[in-house]
Amino acid sequence: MFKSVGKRVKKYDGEGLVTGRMTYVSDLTMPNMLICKTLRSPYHRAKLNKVDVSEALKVPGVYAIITKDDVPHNYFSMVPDHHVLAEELIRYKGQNIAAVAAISKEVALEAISKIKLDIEELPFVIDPVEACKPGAPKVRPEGNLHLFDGTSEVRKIRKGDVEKGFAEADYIVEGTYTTPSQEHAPLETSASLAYLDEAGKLVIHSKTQGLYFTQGDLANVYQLPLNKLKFVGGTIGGGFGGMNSIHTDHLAGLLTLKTGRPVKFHLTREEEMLYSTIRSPWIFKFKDGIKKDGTITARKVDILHDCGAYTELGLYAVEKNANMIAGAVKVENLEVNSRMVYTNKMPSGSMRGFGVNVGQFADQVQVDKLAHAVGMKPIEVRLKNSFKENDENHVGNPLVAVSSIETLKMVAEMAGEELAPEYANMSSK
Amino acid sequence: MSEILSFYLNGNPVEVLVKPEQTLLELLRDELGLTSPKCGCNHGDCGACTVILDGKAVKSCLVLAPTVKGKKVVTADGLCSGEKLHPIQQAFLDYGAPQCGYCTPGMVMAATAFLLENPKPTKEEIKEALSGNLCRCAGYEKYTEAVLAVSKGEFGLLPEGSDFNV
Amino acid sequence: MRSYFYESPDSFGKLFEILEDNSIEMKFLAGGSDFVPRLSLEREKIHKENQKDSMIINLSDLGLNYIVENDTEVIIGATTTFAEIEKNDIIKGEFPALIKAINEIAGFSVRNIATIGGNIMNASPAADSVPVLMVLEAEFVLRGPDGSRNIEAKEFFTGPGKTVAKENEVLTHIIIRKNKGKSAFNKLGRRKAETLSVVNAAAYVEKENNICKAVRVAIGSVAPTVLRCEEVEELLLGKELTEENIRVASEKVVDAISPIDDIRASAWYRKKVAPVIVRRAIEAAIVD
Repeated sequence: MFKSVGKRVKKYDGEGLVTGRMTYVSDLTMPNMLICKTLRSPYHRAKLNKVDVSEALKVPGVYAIITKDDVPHNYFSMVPDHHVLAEELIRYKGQNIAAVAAISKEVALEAISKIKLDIEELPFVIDPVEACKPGAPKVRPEGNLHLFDGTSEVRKIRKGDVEKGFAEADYIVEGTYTTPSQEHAPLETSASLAYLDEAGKLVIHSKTQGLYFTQGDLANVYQLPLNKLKFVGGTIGGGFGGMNSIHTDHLAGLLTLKTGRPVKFHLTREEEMLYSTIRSPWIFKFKDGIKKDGTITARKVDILHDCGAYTELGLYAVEKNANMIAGAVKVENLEVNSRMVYTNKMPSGSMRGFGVNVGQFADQVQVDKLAHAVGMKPIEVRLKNSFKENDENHVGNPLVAVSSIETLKMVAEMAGEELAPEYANMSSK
Repeated sequence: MSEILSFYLNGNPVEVLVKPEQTLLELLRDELGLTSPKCGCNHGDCGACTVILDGKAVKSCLVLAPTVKGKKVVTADGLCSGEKLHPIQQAFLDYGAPQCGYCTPGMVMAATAFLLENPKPTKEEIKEALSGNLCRCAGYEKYTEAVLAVSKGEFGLLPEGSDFNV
Repeated sequence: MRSYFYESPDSFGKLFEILEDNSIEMKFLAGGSDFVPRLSLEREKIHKENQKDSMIINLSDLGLNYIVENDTEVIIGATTTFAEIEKNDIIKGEFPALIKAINEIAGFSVRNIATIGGNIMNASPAADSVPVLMVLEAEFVLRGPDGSRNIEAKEFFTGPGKTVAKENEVLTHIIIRKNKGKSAFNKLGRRKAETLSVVNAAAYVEKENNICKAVRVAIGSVAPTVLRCEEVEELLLGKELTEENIRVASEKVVDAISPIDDIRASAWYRKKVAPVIVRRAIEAAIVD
């Protein structure tokens, strides 16, 4: 009946991979191709007064140098607040200030060494808790805490009455959990090759994970109609969410538009590590109420997401995190308060789970703590409070095809954990 | 100052202009347009650029290009003859080891050179041998199993070491 | 923009002739596993000032790739690769601790090019071959235009990346005396394989009826250079090699070291684990 299910299927492009004949974006070259390198901010936060490229332009082999004034629309990203090239207020170390297109890497670096910056270093903040305090250095002119819907510093979920829930509880269990920054570290670093085709259309070979997102985003940056901008995707050497953000496409395209020649921009491993988007840090504070019989009566979670210098995909991660943070346990009284704060660091991108799995880490450790508090086995607390068919989740969505109890029972079996009959006989139905 | 460098690449004599500061990886990719060795880190950490130099696996980003004068370099695309894959390549393919595939050519070369030195390795020895090749998709288990299968003869006889002696 | 030049002299006469040019910065290349990535990094940097041109001198054609022995010594040429040393029967027979140390340096594809001379001349405090060479009381032979000189391993290093070698001297070979005691190496890295040392240590012990007759201990990655730990040695010499005596003596290493915080570990952590790694090295060296 099934051709492929349960069988080993040969990867359709496998032969190209094992022979090394597959072409990745970083493998591409073209005749007359120029190499792009960028001048990045040496400071976490700074006031950029002037960029003088006149001496740099005199270096033989330099075809173009662009700064913010050369960008038709200097904003990109899902929430379009990220500057393609730095404006007056520099927000993170490594932020692109100017981009050079030259006949070789060596010439491009030589030109960059001759760009003169009139720049003043300013106090900076990289700790998310410090950044929330009044008087902290402002990462953005409008302040460090993100305003949800333009009005509220807190993104809220409310269900039932947590105070009532805490009053009903026999134990109150609190816990604070933090997760650090994490780099995606794809084995192929970010790379783009841009050129103008016969019809004058800008073509970009991209490592992007979201071809049409990126195309729409950059059409805006270039102020080009979509039919003048073509994106070519294909085989990429790993993304892990990091390639949902633009690291090289924007500048390669701008320099091609400026010079008319193919331009390749390929990050070094250091640039990829230090300046590309990351999974940004989170802080979770839980307060749960639980009865002696293991029933969770209330849960209150305060969340702080360190978004870095620009919104990028941070807001999306906060949204998904908030909806999932209460976990796979039924809680009648719930309060979730998410805040997102800007700091002088590389922006928060997406990474494998968009904020969900970091939240689940915190949730799962907290549930273990609850079990210890009431003297039950950790799996018993999970089973006791598990969602069942047709329950509503924490944000009011009906749940169908629920199988969490069956899954937990299978986990118990695999772990060799004997379940008492009252749990062994449970079902999600 | 550039000089002419002659060496053997996948069995063929090559003459190419080389700069004193160039790495073998740059020479292969940028001057000779041969992109099967990949550049993941350029610091000898990731192993994606592994090639076989005079019968031994080396990370080509750690080899200064002028030093390969007169030597024999084999890359992943030089391992297979025509349509026929090398047993290691066939095993990696059949085991579904490559995911994004960027580490694969390096894995192929490290595994091939390793089996020439140690044709009957244990699983631990294979893991140790591949420890210098990073796979960010984390396909290590399948790579290891595939190499073990090759060492047990499941993918036919390995071409002799002499295949690397042009 | 800096220009690079490359020479691969096949005689010392030619080598010293090249070194006479003072207008250019001279850089020696052995295997390249450390030199080449450093060069690549330099080439990715934005240099504000003009740099001197650079001459890369490949030492591989000087005939320094050999391992020979006589009745009392083993001599290893400076450009012998770790892979060659690892597989050499003389070394396997005489200095298994050196094999153990080399086995834990990077992975096999790096050991195929990395040389013992390069590892020494890099003078990294974390170099894995050096503690073993130190407890074996190896001598390093430097050759300059005016001749050769032998220097004891423990006198050779003056700081991170620094040795007593003059700018126009090259390391030609390493002399290790054959000995009747047993040596061992122990390393703590951040991973099981392909990792630089957080702390490494080597020990050499001669014993009679479980009494310590001679002992030498060296520790790496906890000071500006690899160190001989005389404090530990003094406490153990002449004593019975009991678990307790070894533990107490190993603790003394803390007085000798001055670790720093770096990317691999904190100074605090290194102080905690240094005695443990020293103890393990000594224990491994007394196993019959």
